[in-house]
Amino acid sequence: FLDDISGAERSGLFLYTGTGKRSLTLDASHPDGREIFTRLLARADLLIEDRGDGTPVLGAETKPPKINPRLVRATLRKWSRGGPYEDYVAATELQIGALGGWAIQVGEPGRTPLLSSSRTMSAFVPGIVTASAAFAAVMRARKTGEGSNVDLAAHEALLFNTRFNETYYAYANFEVRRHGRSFAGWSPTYRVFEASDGYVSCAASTDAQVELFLQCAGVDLEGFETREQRYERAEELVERLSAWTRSKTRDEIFHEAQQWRIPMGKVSTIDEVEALDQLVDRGFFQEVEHPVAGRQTYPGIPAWFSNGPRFTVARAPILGEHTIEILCGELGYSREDVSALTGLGVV
Amino acid sequence: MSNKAAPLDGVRALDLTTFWAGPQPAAILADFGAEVIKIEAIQRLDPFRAYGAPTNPTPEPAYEWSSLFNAVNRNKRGITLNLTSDEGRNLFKKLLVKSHVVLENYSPRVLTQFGLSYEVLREINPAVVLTSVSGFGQTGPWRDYVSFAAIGEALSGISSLTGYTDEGVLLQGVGVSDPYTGLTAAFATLSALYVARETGKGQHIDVSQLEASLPFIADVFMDFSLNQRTRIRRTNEDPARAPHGCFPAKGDDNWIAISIGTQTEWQNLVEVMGKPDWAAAETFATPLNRYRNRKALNDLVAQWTSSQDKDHLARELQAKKVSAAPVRTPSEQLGDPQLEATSFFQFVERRYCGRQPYPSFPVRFDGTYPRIHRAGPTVGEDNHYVFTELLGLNASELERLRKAGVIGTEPIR
Repeated sequence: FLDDISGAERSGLFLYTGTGKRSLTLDASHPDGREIFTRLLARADLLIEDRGDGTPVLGAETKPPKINPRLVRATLRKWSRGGPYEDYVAATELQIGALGGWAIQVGEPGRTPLLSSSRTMSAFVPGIVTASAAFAAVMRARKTGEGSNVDLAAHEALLFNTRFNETYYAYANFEVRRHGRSFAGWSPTYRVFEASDGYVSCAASTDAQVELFLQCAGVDLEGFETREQRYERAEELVERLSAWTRSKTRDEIFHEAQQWRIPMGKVSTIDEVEALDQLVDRGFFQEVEHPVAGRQTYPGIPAWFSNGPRFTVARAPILGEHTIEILCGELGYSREDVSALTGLGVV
Repeated sequence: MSNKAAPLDGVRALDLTTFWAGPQPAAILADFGAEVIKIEAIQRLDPFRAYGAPTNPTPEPAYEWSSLFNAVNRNKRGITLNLTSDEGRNLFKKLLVKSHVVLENYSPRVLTQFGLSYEVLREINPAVVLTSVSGFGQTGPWRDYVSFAAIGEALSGISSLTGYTDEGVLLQGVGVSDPYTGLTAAFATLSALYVARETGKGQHIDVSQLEASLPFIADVFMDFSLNQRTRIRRTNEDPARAPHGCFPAKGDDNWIAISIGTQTEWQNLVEVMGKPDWAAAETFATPLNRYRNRKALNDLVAQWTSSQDKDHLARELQAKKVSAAPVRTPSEQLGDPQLEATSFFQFVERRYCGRQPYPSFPVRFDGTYPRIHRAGPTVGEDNHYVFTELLGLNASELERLRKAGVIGTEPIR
C-alpha cells in the first residue's frame, strides 16, 4: 500500500494488475444486476474468473454458452478438479510452490526449501499461462464462432515451468534438488560468485564458455578441460575463479566478462534495477500518473511490437470509474437508470 | 482437446531457437495445434541436446537422449538445414512463404548475417510474425551481451530476493528467467498472429529475458515506487503470517509448507498438534503476538513436524482447513495422486528413449489437455516430409543436399 496505509486505490499490486483495464461495480445477484451482466456477456469475447470453487461469478448463476455461443470462459483455480487436492486451502503461494515443484529447487541442500521474497514471482506464472490459452481460444472463437471452456490450476502451471525435472528423473534417474548458489547438473561454473561489492552470476556451462571464463579470470585450463574434471575438482575451480571475482566490482566483472562473450551478469538490488543502462536506453520502466497514488514508476510491457508505437502503461481504474461509460455508452441505460441502479445498490 | 479444431489449426511456424526460453513458446504454439518445424543446422545441433541425458545411454547417440530437449520440443517436427549456405537459405525462404510465424533466439546480429533480417522476411511474406527472443533485446547498449537463465535472474533483481535472511544470494533452481521469457514470447506471438489474421500485416516482436523477468516481481517494484522500500532475502517470511514456512518432516529431506494467519487456523493447528502446553503461552495468543515471536514459534512447530509424515500431516491439516502441503521432489511428482487423477503426465513413445512421461501444457480446453503427439524430434526426423511433401523436392535432390551438408541426419562436426 502507498505509505503502508491501506485503501482501495492504494494497493501497489492492484495499481499494477489493474493497468489497462476499465472498472465497473456490479451486484449480479440482484435481478437488474443480472440483466446488466447478461448484456455484458452477450458482447464479450472472454469471461475470466479465478474463484474456481463453483461460486457464481459476481453472485449470478449464469449459463454463458446460451447467452453467447462464442464466449470463451477461462477459469483459474489453485488445484485441478477431480483429484484429492481439489478442495485444499492455500493461504499463500508457498503451498502451491511446495506441491508445484518449485520449493524443492531453491535453497541450500539440507536446509529449508524456499521461494523468494516476491509474492508475485510464482503467482503470475499461472496468470500468463491463462492469458495465452484464453487468447488462443478467443482466436479460434473469432474464426469458428465457437466458444470454449479453458481451465487451469496454478499448481500444474508451476509444475509445467520447472525445467521438466520429472521427465529428467524418468530418463536419467537424476533428482533435481536445491543446490544453493549453483545449478543442479549443469556445470560447477554455473553459479553465483562473490564480487567486491556484492554478487555476480555466471551461466557458463559449455566447454567453450568455461574455457573463456578461465582465460578471462587468468586460471590455467589444465586439469579443468572436461566437464567430469570440472565436477571432480569443483571446489578448487570455484575458489580460483572466486579469487578473480572478489577482486573486482560487479560492474567491472559484468562488462569485462561480456566482452569475452561469457554469460555473466551482476546481481542487481531492487533499488538499482530501474537505472540499468539497458533498461533506461529502451525506456522499459514507465511513469504513470494516478489520481490517488500520484506519479509512480511501473514495470513496462515486456514485448516490443514493430507495428505502431511502443505500448504505454495506462493507469489502473478507480473503483467503478467506468460504470456510466459502460452502462450508458454501451448497454443503452440512461443516466436516470444509473442513478436508480446506484440507489438500489446494484452498481 | 475435444473434437473441435485446435486453436491454431492451419498455422505453421518455423522454429530456429535453441535451449529453453526460445523453444518453449514454439512448443506452446504446437500444443495449440500449429505445425511447428524446428530447424537445426546439421553442423550445429541445438546445444540443449547435451543436457538432461542419462550417462552412457543405449542405444547411442547421447544427443537423442536429452530429456530436456525432448520435453521442450514436444509436438514439433524437426529438420536440419544449414542457413550459412545459399541453398539452405533458399529452402528456408521457400518454407517461409508457406508459414505464419518464425521464432529465433540468436544474438541480435546473427539473423542479419544469414541475410534473413526481418526486412528480408517481410519482403517474402508480409504477413509473417518474427519473434526474436534474446538476453537484452534487439536494441540498446547491451544488445550483443549473452544471457542464460541465471543472468536474467541476476540483473532483474530476482537473485537479490532469493535466499535466507541475512545470508548471501542463491540461485532459483527453476531457472525462472527462461520460462518467464518463453511464456511472454508465446503470448506476444499469439497477439501478433491475431493482428496478422485481421490485417494481413505481420510484425517483428522483440522479447528480452531481462525485461520479461521484471513483471513477475512487480509487487517488489511497486513497493519500491510507492514506499522506497528495497526488498531483500527473507527466507520464507510472510509479512503477516506466523507460523509460516517449510518445516522439516520425517525422513531425509522431507518438508511440509504450513501457513497460519487467522485465529481459527491457529486453533485448528493447535488441535492437530494435540494442544501442547507451549501453544497456550501469552506470546502466541494472537496473530500479532505470533508474528512478533515468529522465530521461537517456527522452531517449536518444526520440532513437532520433524517426527511426522509429510503427506499424512498435510492431509490431516487440510481436513481442518489449514494451509499445508508437502514439498514434492521430482520423483514424487510422478506418483502424485492429484497428478495421477488428472493424467497430467502424458506417456509418449520416442525412438531411442522409449516411453517416457512429459508434463502437459497445464490448461484443459473443454476438459482435455492438449495432447502430446510426439516428443522432441530426432535429428532431421522430418526432412523427408518437409523437403519432399511441402517443398516438392525429389529423392535425388535430397541426396545431393545431404552430400553438400545442407541437410542430414548424422551431425557433421
